[in-house]
Amino acid sequence: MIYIFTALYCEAQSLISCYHLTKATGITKFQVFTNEEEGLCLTVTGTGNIAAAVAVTNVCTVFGAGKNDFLINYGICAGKSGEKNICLGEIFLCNELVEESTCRVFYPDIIYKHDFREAEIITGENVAETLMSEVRGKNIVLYDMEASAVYQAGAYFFAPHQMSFLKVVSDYGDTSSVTKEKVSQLTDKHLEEIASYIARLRQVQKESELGGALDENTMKLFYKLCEDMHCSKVMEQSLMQHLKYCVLADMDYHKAVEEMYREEKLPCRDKREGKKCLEELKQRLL
Amino acid sequence: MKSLNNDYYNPLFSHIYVEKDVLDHPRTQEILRHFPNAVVIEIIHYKDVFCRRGQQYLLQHNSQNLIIAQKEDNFLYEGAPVCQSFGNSWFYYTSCMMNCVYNCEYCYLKGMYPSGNMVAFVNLEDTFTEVENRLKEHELYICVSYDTDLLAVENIFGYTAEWAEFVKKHDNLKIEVRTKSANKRFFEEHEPSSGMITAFTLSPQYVIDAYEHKTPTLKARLSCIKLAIDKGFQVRLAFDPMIYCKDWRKQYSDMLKEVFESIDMQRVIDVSVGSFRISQDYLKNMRRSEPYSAVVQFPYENEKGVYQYPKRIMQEMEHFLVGELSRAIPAEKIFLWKE
Ligand code: SF4
Repeated sequence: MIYIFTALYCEAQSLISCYHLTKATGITKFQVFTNEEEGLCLTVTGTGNIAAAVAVTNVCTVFGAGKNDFLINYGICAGKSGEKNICLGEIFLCNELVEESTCRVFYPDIIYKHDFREAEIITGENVAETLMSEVRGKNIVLYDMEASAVYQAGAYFFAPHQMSFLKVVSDYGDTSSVTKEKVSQLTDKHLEEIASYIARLRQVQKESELGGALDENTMKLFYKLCEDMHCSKVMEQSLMQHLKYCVLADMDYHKAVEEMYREEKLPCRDKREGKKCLEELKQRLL
Repeated sequence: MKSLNNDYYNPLFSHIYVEKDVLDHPRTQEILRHFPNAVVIEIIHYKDVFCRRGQQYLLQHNSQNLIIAQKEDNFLYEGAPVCQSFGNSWFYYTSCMMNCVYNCEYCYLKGMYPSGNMVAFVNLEDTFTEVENRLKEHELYICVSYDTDLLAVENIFGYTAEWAEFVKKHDNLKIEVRTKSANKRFFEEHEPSSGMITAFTLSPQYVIDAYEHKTPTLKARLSCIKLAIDKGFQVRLAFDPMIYCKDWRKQYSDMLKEVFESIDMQRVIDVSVGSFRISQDYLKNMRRSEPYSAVVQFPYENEKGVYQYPKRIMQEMEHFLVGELSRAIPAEKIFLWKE
């Protein structure tokens, strides 16, 4: 699943309609929209650190987010005018998130290719009127109210490479002209780029799902052997490790097992015989 | 090992994290010059990036980033018990880099470090000072390419060359530079010295293909070894770790045939032999993160906290290799790893 978190509904609107997301029932504290087939879950968290952290924690717990999932925090931010050519309407992928109140810094891993400009962002508690951008001697050009909180809550479920922070510059600190319509417009403008980024993450997901553990037949054989050898926990582990290695190293383990059945060394009468039998099987395998 | 399509990943060192205090260090600037398109991110301390919670070593390795930092302490470590000391009593290692651009599935670094990103410490002089202080007390034998492969990235960092110069100034210092690289340029451009041993790790091509990702072929390594020997460098061959496969005897015979045909074994200073072994804690981590790696999932046996091949296999493999090698090199030059 790809979990998208936006602070405002107007930031989410274009994604909701593009991916035909429908409102999920069951979670009442936040607006959650999903499309199971597309593997997408979008949550409107509300503005600010606490709301963002609670929403991430709640949704990720309910949906069981984990190893093969991704988190995207998408929304608007303020930019510092006159710095590094920050233009209104431009989108950034954040490579460094600073928490204003504590000066703590978080680094999402940017390991997948993307087409965005990168920048650092500071997350504060108030709407940015004068941008507080000098932190630990660093000049930070973007300002929002959720990113570092989303990261910290997300870190309970995701590794640093699973979290992406995409921010569109809506203003230079003066929010008076930032209307819902304008926000929708700004975020809508980047829909194509976001969609292609999501598509790339999906591809990554799909590939890492390939090649599961031992196939069904090997597992069946494993259970049968455990029974026929009266395996203890330790014996089971050892047998499993041998089968696993044979499968991964493309070695034929069937022959050795079949021979032992043919020679009537299997099934074993008791655990003592089973122990001896397992040792012999291990010898034959390697 | 299943690896994702490379198209998804950013290129090597696409992001370089630099500690603020070494941003202006000449070595930092020199390293950055090699990567004009990298995104440079200023950080306070390398651990802020290297030691983050929940990093995935293998994924990060597909798009390895670089952290440039300053080493603050622990300039020299005592040699680990799972390593060979080659009869040297003052055996140390130093780690001026952490992690490796190569990607061997069985590499203990995968079980030891929390991150797949590479760290380069730019204050080599502090290590040199520490070494000089110790040298006043006794001789030293230091593995300088220990938790990394320095020669593999020599063209970027130039650390082997710095060590090579340093060792020339100290008669009672010997260094070993271990590598799987085939960096001919280094041997072409530098002069040999009696204090520096280059230890080339060799494996059958089958093992290289299956487990030593991104490393040069056996042929390329041998060609580089030949050049190094011809230029008068002291070369050690390391058949360590030996990796088991069903037809290991054939694989290792074929490899030795190629080795003996390519290089004059009489001019090799010594060889080391040892089958794969690893501390239980590292293997535990690796088994979790590399569920599809045959070499990691091999049913090793735990001997006092160290996982190794079952005794029968280990002895057969090592005795076989030692036997074959002793036809080409005197027995006293063969170092078999023992606990
Ligand atoms: S070359 Fe050595 S340090 Fe590098 S990955 Fe391989 S085993 Fe590890």
